[in-house]
Amino acid sequence: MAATGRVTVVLAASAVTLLTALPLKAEEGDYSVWQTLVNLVSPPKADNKVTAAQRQGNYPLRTNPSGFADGFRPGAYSEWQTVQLAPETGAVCGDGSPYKFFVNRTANTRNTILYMEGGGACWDYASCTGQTGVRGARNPNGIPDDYMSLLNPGSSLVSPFVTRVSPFDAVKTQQWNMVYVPYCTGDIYSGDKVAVYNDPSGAAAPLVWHHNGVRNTRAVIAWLKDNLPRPTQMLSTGCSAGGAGSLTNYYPTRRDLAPTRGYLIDDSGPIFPTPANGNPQTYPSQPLMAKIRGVWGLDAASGPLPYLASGMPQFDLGELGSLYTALSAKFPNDRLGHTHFWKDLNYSGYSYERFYPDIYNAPTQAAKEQQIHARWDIDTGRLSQRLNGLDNFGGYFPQYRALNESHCTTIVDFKNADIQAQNLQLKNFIDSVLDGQGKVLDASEQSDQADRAKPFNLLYWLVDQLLA
Amino acid sequence: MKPAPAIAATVLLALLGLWAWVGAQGVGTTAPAGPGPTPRAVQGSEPAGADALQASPQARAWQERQAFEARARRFMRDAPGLGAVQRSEQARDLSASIDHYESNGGLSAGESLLLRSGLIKASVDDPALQAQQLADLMERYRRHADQRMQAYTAQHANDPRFQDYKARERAIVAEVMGLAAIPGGSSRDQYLRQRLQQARVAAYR
Repeated sequence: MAATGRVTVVLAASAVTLLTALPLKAEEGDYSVWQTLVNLVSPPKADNKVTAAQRQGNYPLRTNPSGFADGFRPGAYSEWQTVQLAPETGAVCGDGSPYKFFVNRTANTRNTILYMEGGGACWDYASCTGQTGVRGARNPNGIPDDYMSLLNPGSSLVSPFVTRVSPFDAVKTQQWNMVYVPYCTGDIYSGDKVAVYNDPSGAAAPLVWHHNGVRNTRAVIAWLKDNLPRPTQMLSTGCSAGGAGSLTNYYPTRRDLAPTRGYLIDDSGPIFPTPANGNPQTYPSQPLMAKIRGVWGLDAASGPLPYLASGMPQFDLGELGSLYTALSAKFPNDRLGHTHFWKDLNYSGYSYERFYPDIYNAPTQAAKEQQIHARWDIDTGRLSQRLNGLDNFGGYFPQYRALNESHCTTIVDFKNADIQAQNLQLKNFIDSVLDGQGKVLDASEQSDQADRAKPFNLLYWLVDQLLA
Repeated sequence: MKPAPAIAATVLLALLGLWAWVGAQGVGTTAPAGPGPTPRAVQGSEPAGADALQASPQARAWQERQAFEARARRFMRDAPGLGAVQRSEQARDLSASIDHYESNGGLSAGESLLLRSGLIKASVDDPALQAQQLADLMERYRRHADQRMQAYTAQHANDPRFQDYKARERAIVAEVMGLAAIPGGSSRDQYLRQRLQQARVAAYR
């Protein structure tokens, strides 16, 4: 009896300590208090490993060879770990250096967020070499092992989604296992081609550039399957190129990681509804799409686009914006969302400024921005309409924020992406995706007047200085 | 007013009740759907090992980390209502914890920067001083990142395995681009990718 009493007291004390440490609201996928304790000393093993069939075929899941030191320590919780991927996995950075990614594990849940880093795009010698005056792509020299401890532009734009403690916002993914997928291929994680770009001046040797985003993502998924428990809830997200990558890779990622509940939030990485041969006057993103389909190898036989279409009958290769409809139909029980600002001047710049003479020859910056906004309005309006028709794919379109050229709604904080006329905050949209019922929220702001009337935000200004 | 022993007993009973409820709920143990086996919460064996688990270095480190996160959240929420001295002390204490976790990889540079920004915004009332401290903070991180990136770029460019691969890459690209016919029925793009992957395997062996 005495021993039983002692054990009861110990149990109660342990429970008190752990209960005060655990989040108040237990989520589907969270471990029990006792399982959490056990996990700390005996980390849970993978339970959804890559199968023999998944190692075969088009875009197979290839894992590190036996004996390869990937650097992962299963019991190292709450710290950013660098995971190395061997060349045998097919993963590689644009410059040919090894690819790697980052994991921050937690003991008390199976739930997992996949965060894809943003960072521009490139499709020719000028943009892939980072030539001055041309928008290019992040990490042209590969990824340092200690990347997460560097204040690179990507991490300075860190999102509350992947901060354990955000001073500004709380969201449930802060308690989840975090996977930070860095960006070094310039192809919005969607390409599969070794490009050989000649120097237009003929002065330098050709640039060999690995647009290898699809295979890198496949290698990350393979590693996750072989090393971590299957997520019960999974959010795939990212901003800009990372948002687009979350969207284009959602189908195979969700299929292979097989979470019970899947969520997608594409922040500012739209794939606009655009017929392959559409008139650019009507479909402003057509020239960009035609360009990248070629240089990133998207249309190759058994390449990235046919691969997606093979599993999603509603994905029309003649109109890439059909991806939204196709994903909505493929995963009717998942909750999916897209968000960007109407006044975005970054992704829109990539989309149009090198393709339209009235933009690249604009006499003033104001005239240039006006032309970009006009085209972005057309594309955004059409995307908003499409999402309005999809119950499980919401669209949230605020107007303007004085940060990063109004590019990305979910970086630094979730503030100031409000739609004042409807009394909506960005967090309402995020909650609708992650915790809502029924139709995912759709909302669009009509005017930027209230946004531009907001007081000066010192933090945003400083972050912009860092990015400049 | 109840006597202390009665209060203690009530609290213990309440805690045991809560514990029993948590156990019954399984605290959201994973839903059954999907291909992987559903994990079961450890049940019959907890009592014997509970104290050892609770006392393990892993459990202590984890609890300390959870406590740090809870303190940070509480501070960000409550700071406006705290006195200046209390606010300053708590901010200093949290700053030391951020130093600790940042140095051992427990916080990324971006997380640390945002947290430190939050501390300044919550604990420094004077707008000019707040602006100066935020600017200094950003500059410190930017300078550190610039130095480290320069070091990385130099090290990367001189990495013998990378140099080896780039030499192989040049040769393979020239060869494959010059081929009149691609062996094995692949496309030129597929063949080039496969050859370059083999070169990386060889260079990084």
